[in-house]
Amino acid sequence: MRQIIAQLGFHLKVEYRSWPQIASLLLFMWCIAYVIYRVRPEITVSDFNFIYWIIVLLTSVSVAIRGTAHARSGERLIMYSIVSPSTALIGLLLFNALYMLIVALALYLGMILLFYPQITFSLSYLLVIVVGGSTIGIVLSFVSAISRYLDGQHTALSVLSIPLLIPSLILSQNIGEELLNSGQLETDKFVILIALAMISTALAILLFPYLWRE
Amino acid sequence: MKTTGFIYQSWWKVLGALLMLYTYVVGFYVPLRPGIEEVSKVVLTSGEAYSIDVKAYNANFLHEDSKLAAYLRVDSEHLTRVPYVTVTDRNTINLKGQVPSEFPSADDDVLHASLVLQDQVDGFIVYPPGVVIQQADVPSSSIATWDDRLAADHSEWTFKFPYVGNLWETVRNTFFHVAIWMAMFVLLIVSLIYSIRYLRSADLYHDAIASSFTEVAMVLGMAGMITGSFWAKATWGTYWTNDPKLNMSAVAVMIYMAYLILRGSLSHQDQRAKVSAAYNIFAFVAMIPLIFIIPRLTDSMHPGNGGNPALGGDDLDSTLRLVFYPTIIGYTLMSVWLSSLIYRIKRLRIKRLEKRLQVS
Repeated sequence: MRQIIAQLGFHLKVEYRSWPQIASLLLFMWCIAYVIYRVRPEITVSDFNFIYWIIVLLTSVSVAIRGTAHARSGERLIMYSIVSPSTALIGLLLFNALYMLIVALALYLGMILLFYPQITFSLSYLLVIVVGGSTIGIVLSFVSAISRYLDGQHTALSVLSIPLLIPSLILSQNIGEELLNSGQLETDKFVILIALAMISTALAILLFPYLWRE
Repeated sequence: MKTTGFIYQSWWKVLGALLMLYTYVVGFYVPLRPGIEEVSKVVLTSGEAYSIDVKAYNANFLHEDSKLAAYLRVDSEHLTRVPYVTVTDRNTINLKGQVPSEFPSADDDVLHASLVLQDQVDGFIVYPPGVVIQQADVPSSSIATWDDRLAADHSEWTFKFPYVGNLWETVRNTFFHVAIWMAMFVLLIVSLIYSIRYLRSADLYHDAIASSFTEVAMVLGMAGMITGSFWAKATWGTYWTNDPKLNMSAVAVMIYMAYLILRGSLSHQDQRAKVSAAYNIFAFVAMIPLIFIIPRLTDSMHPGNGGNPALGGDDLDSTLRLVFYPTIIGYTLMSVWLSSLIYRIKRLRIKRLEKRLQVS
């Protein structure tokens, strides 16, 4: 447990040192959101929801590519040689989920600022983002594990990530749309989303040892 | 080399071919039972003198043994026989008569009656939506009364497929669309099992089995989508609609397409086997909520989802079952045969590679 926390701290530290990367990612998202704002300032709630998850999808692929590039950097290689594979994996999963969460939250806040009168802050939508975003992060870390195993072939990555991300994306988008339209959280689907996150985590932990490069 | 293994035996291949032949011949050759397509009047008032035009499908009213009788049936103890039945065509009749003025029970405001035609050649023909009988504002006298039994039925059971409302002849697609998807799931499950076995054994032959089964499953998946598309055109009016079940199955096929692309893009054998086995397991698990859970929670036009009953129970009657179950087995056996052929090609490739490695 302490190892995992230490790892998480380590990941965050490395990320903090290479801050231009996350900054470029945020800039990339906000630019897309701003372009959409310029084209259509008066947006409907459903459009907002749809655009939001599409930008998350676009960003998540770049996050996955970044994750692959990072894994081969010197600092992390040293760390992977110290800790056991399963701890390394759990640390990585947690970090990726957290990372995707930060990115998704930043995008949400940015988009609320842009489209303020039509879209207002809602705590339950935030909950959907937290669960949906971390599910996407977990699936992405599985995909980047595959692509790392293949020495970072980016074609494999973009081919794999989008179909695997679609279930959680569609679910989050569906829940979000119904939430914004009716103001109520659909618990059935939300439970499925959580279950999907848990299954993905379990599978990633089970399958990761096979993809681990000694 | 073993020659007694399951994939070398021919009995199941012959069985599969025979079942396929049976499906295609019987599935296309057997006619549909008659059904009522259209009724000109569906709301009646008590005591009213009515004249209803009925348009049937595939009926044989002009047959000399037909002796057609028509009833308005409220429940098993209350029905009224239509006194005048005029046959104008083999598929069109006109019913004239009067609705009884008293309702069987004084508590009811509205009666739901089904329209039953009794044909001595084809048996009973029922119009499931039925007709609605309203209580008249002004009580009227009627000579018609409620009866409690139908005339004796002399029709013989014939091997015909049921008429399911607005499906017409496309009910036969049950043997193709539904059976193909089921066979696809069988293949994907086999593929999943061999992917898991590969990860435990690192035996390249297991990987070859898993990939050949997935390849054939994708052919079946495409066939399932095409047949479903034609079915949708016939019943819903479009080839593709924004329906959760359809979208989710498209995504599932995309996930497996990515599997095949992934395999194609890698050249190192062990690497390819390992990655695709891991991906296959992940893909299968991702597919289950897509196809089986999400469509059931949302409104869907597809049978079996969103409060929409599956083609089962009453609709899937014994004659359909008589063809449907053999069809599933037939498709599964034929596609297993096809996958075993692909597997044998792949195995030869692996063997050739091993031989070359030994020589060098």
